[in-house]
Amino acid sequence: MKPFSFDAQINTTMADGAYQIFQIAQFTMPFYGDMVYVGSIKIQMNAPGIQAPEWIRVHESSTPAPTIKSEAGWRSAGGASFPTSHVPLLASWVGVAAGATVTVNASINNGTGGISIGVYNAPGIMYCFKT
Amino acid sequence: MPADVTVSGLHLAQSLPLMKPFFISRSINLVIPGSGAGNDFVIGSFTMPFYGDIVFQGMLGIRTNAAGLQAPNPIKVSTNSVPAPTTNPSATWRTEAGTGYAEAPTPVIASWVGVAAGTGVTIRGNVTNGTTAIAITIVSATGIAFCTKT
Repeated sequence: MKPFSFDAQINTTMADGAYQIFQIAQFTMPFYGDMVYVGSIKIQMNAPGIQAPEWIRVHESSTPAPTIKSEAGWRSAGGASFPTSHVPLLASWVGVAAGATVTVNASINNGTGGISIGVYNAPGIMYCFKT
Repeated sequence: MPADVTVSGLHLAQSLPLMKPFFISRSINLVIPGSGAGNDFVIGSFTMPFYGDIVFQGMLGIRTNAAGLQAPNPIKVSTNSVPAPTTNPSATWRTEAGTGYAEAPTPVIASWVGVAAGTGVTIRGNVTNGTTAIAITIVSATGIAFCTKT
């Protein structure tokens, strides 16, 4: 087993209702095998109120495409604050060729509550298993 | 497991990998009433491929069913999992007192030591809701169980 760690710096603003895909990791698969990714992505609302980004996940445009991926939703309850959260990202791949260039993308669909969100860093670890 | 091979009359036995992951993802949609109610539910199951240890890294999608303050605590892998976990640290989550309901994924982790080959492992979650009257829904569970041959 070989792990690779990442901390992609995204630092962008997503407008209300926007949908965006971000690259969060890239490496070369060292041997034929399976992979699992355990990470998170930091999101902050840019104004008080109700906003619901979803689904926050590893995206199918990753190369190769993931076999399974998590889908997480995050919704603020309103109030007078600017909530922030690290939302987990999980995914797995089966039967990846040795030498393959692996690119992991994540996607977020911002809600429609009228609030933009900031998307910051995406730390994570890719575990590669020889099979 | 890869098949054994024979090269020039020499039989080479392939061995199992030292570590095997199982990816678990399921919808739960379980409602837990407010006022401190608790509940236990299945996150996922698999068969242990060899004797060894397990660590689980996952998350539970949780949302409140109405606006207002609520603080589910603890949120953890259940001691009713089979086999019972060796460690199962707890997490918590507290919503704002806003005008809408709230939703967040909460990490859950656990470990098991010395699990027999062939054991049917069932990982269960356990959540105790807060003491206000607001119900919560356990929306989904996603995670990876890393099995290590020891």
